[in-house]
Amino acid sequence: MVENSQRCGRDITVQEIEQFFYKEAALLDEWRLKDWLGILTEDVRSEVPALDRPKTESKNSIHVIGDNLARVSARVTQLLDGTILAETPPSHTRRLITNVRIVEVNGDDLEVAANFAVYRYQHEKQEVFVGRYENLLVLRGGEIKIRRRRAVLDMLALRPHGKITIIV
Amino acid sequence: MSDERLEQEIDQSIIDDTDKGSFKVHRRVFTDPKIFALEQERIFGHCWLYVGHETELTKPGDFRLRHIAGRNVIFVRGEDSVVRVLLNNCSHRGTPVCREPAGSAKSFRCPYHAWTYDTSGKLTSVPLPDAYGPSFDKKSLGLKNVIRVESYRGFVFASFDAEVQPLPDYLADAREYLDYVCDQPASGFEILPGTHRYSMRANWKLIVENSVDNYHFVILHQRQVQHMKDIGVKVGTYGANSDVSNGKSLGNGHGVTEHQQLASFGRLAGSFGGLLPDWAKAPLADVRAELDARVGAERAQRIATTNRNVRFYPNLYVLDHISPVIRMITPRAVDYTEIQEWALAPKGENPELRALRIHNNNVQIGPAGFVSPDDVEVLEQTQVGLQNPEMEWIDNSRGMSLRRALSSDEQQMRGMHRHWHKAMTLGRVKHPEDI
Repeated sequence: MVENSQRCGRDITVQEIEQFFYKEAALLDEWRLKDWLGILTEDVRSEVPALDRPKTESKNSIHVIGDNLARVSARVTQLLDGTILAETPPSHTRRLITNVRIVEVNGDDLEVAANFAVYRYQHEKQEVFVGRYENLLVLRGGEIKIRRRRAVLDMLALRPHGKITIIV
Repeated sequence: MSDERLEQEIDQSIIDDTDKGSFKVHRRVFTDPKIFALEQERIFGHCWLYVGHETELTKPGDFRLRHIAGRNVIFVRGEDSVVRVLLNNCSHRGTPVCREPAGSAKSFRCPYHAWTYDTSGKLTSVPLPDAYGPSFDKKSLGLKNVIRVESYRGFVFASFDAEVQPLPDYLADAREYLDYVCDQPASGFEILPGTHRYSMRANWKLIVENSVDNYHFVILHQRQVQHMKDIGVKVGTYGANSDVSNGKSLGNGHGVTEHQQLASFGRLAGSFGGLLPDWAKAPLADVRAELDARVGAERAQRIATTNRNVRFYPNLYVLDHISPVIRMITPRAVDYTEIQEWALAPKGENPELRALRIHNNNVQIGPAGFVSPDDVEVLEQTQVGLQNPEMEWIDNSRGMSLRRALSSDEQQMRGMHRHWHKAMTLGRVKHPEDI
């Protein structure tokens, strides 16, 4: 844990990072998914670990999601073009992001932890995805970008959810 | 409803008319909780059921909790290195002695009165034993073994029927297809770390049909088809136009669909394709050369360039695409089924190919892949649709009057339903040969 304001190219505060996460949550909840792709770096990794291997690196264990930019972009294309049955019509989602902590600052790289709850509503069904984000954020030209995002789910099984079709 | 009425309804739940090319299954088979309860006894109580893969238990004491035929069991490698399937009940009051889903143990200790068992199931310690009489025999109070346990090429099965036929016979013609999968690496397969654990709010037999249904692929899975087009990979020909297209019933309820429609994605068994990076061409050529030398060019061609979904009735599926995946299903209610999936990889695999295998494991199959979530969604919607009493019969007649067995047809589903019907009617109803 470091002080709330830390030097990393320029001063950055927890409040600024929180605002970044809130803006990101709004982009996803409003289905502005192409704009959301704009806050990822070109070498981004977007991962959801296997529920029984929350700590294992994606090179050593199968993952629920292990996307590079090409694959996460494909996911966004599919979400927007109506080819995902479970997301047609688009589900209603609401993301709550809390407990934001700067874990480590290393030059322009920021390791930031946060908790999330994503509520998803579709066909009168409710699903809740709860967990924590392990983020590697980076300052590019003064802007915050996501370089690595591991969404570690607390559930032990995707039951009764059965699937993940949104960006968590 | 009387038992007699239920038996009558089961007898009349399938229409199988070869002359008319008609095959229909009544909705109640997918929606009636009484039929579901009877299935546990008449189907799951008598079949061989997949429990796990030997390589999940690498050292003595390793265990996994599994659920088969309505029972909680411990899949465990004992201190003597023997793999067993033990009922998860303390012999004292029936309390489960193992509460972790997976791990490694020296012993299993009941949380209630601390009766303690070693990893081979032997009762080793009972607190304050002096209060028991002369008939109290620790030797006879070990954890119960499931009555039959056998394995085939690392796949461990158990049965609660002492009279069940030997496993290799039970696997019938499906054995050949498991061999096509297991022959891929010279070193043998192991299970990769990590499990996909998810579910479907649908009857288990809808999943059984769906796992070997190639008719729906280019329709329901537009998502994947469009994605392949976007990255410049051709999805192969389909149905009757395909070079390799099998949709066959394999006896005892087993079935297969085999096709080359998606083989253009590439297969780590030894054929390069559009989903794989260019650098993989050379190592995959080496994999193929080794396979050719070991099994012969013709068999290697079949193994390396053909995709297959194989159903080992009733609870195991091997989905052999870019890299093979094992799917185990556990029916928990008439409209709710748990699913677990694991990935197979060659022991001692080249690290770059291993990384590629892991990267591509979740692209199609798995709860966030580009394919499986649409299956979950459509089957859950189908289960809801079958609640309408007027939707009396579902149709499985494709290919029946043409006497063909293509991957886009439905012989492999009819075979399962006929086998199911025979077992559920205790042999009262006869069906024609699988066509």
